[in-house]
Amino acid sequence: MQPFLRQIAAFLSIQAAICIACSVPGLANRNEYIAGALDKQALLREAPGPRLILVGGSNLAFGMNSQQIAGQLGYHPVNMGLHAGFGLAFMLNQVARDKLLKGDVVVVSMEYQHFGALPDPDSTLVELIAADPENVRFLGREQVPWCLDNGLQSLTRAMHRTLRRTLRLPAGGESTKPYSREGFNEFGDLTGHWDMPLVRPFSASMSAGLKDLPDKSIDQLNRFCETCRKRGVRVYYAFPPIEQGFFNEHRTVLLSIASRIRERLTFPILNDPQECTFGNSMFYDSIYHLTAAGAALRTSQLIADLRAAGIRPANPESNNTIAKVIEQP
Amino acid sequence: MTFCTPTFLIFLCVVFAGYWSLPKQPQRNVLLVFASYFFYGWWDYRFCGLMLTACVLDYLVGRGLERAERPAWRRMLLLSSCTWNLGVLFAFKYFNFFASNLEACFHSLGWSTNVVLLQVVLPVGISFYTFQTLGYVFDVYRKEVPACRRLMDYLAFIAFFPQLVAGPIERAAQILPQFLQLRTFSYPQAVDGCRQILLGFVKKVAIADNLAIAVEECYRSPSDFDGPRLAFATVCFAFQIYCDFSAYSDMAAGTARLFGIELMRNFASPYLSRSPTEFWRRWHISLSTWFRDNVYFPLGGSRSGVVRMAWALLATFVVSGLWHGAAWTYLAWGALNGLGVLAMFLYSRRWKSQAFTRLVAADAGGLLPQPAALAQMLLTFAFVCLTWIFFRAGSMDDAWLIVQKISGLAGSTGSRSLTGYRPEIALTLAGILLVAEWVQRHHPHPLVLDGWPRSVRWLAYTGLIWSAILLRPAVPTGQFIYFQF
Repeated sequence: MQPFLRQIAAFLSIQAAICIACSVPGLANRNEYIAGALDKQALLREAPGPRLILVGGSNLAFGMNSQQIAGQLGYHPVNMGLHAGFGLAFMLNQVARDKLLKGDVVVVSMEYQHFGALPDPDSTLVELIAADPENVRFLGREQVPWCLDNGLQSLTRAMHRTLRRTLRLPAGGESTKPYSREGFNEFGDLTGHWDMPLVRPFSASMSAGLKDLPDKSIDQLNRFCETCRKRGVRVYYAFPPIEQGFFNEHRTVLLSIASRIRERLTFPILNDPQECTFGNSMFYDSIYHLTAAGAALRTSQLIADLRAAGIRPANPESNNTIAKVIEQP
Repeated sequence: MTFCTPTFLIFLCVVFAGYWSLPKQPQRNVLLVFASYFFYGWWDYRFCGLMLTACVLDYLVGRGLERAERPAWRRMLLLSSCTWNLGVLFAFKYFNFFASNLEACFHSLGWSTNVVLLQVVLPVGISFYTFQTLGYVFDVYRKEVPACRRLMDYLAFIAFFPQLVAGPIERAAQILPQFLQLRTFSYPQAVDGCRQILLGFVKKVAIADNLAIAVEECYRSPSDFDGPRLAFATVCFAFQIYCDFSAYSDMAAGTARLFGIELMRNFASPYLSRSPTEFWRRWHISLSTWFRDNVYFPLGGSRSGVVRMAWALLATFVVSGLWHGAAWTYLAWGALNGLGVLAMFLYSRRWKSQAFTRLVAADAGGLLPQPAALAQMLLTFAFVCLTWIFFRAGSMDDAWLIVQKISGLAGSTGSRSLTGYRPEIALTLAGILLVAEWVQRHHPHPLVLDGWPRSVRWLAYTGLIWSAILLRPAVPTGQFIYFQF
């Protein structure tokens, strides 16, 4: 047994060294889209209160103009939206288990796929954790087994990335405009696509995973709300923007999910799904990713909805502070 | 938690350490039972109870069979086991197929019916552990093995995690004694087990997962592709299913050897076969021998004349097809294979001659196969590929369309190219694997590198591991194919 254990330990040590060598160039210094998560987490920790924190997937990253929020509501916007593939639990825990200030307002806006059969996260979450292991504390309980089962995917991507860098090959799709870290502004909005031509057909099919099983996700949202309320934070839900054609095609399922959300959600909902549909020309490359014009329109709607829900502009001092920040070159 | 995940590696290390730290085999079996049910529960904890129930029932049936003297009582015990096991299998796997076909039949006769279909999830591995536990009952009934005394030993035998979800379907006579004897750690056995795990990993990750992408693209909409592309996809599938399934068996066998347990060999280089008959002695050996002993022989086998033998053979293959899935395509696949084996049997019987015997025995001794042997291998491979069309196609219509397009009967409609991933690299690797299997055909697997210096061996192993990871597709297909059965 001893010789076997020694041999195996030595062999596995060699493989571990290779593994570390491939994975060490982490996300932190890279210009990848997913690396934007690290900047958003830093923003959440450093942004002064009161904040308006947006929690969701890329519908928020692409679909918000936080300068409007700052100017009209006086809250400091923190757009945590990045990638639905992180999974509902992770996105909520990023905020709930990190810095929340009394007086903050949280707006949750989740893609409809999260109300399917509780979709697993994708390999980008594993990469994020590999780059910054502190992100482990944001994992949902059901996500831990998935991350363990799918660690190999992340390793594969890391190896490909290292090989491309070693051979001086062009970077893969992860850091091409607008999907790059540089594309985010100071509030966490992705603006890199604002001056780019529309991508047609849409880059990914979104029909997969759209099943009428919302209860587990709604329960997670309710628990998140409870956590926030205990810390003096108000929480609202807003349905995400969605392309009109897709909405019409999946109307029954989407309205069924929305109806279930209305029945079970324990915090206020700001809008209706039908109010969030936009024409095809308002979307950049998918049914959730708005253009600049779409983001401006959606943000205006959100501001109006928040005012209707009783959100008043924050104190004039904070208003001026933010205004000064915006005005600086 | 499939074999190719970090989770399994952690799990295996923990169970391995616990297993060899226990001094007695009964204690080790208890650990294996808990570990195996944890492994199975990781997939879906809801079905642990179902498997446990089947195991306990058959353990009791086995004890009853050993004590019962009266044939009627023994038959009743056997029948109760068959009823439960096959009934559960039928409910989960076949009910909807038969119900919907019955409904279609009634409709064609003008009768209006409304058959209720079951909304059930197929428990992973149910076909495998059901046949394993049923095989045990049959063996005890025939008095070929004594009944297992301790429940924990029996549970360990059925639920042993390396072979739980996708086989090999072990026979009690071969494996149960291993759970009853104290196993001592064997360095050569453990090292070779690790090599087999590595071999399986490479086959699954580098070859099978890559080929799967092209196969899925073509077989999802065969009308979009022309004959040559469909033929290419079929060859890809032949290697995909082989590498996928044999990879699982290799990893299962290799893992079992780390615990001092020898599983049966499930694949013996099947694509080096020179006839359909030989193919079925080399492919999924555990299942084919199970069906031979428990279906073919009881139906008469080859002892009762050609007609009876032919009927028994075809029935066995059709049922074997049905075991794989509740669909007409699987039945057609089974029937085609049965016809191929039957034709070979009749051909050899009718034209048996010295020349024929020499031809059939055309060798296998030198570095390269003889031209006659190579021709036989290629013809057999072509026949097997024809049957794989039915196995993989989504429907009988799709299967027939593919056959027509490949044979040129449907013209050259469909000009779509394979987009995305290119399977040529994986197919090349599959070819290399085939050559390696030929060169190493006298060894249980191709990765037997005894005699090579350790540094060279380790370099080879390291190269294989990281090549496989590097070649792994960006969006892997994930599960092993036979998990769906």
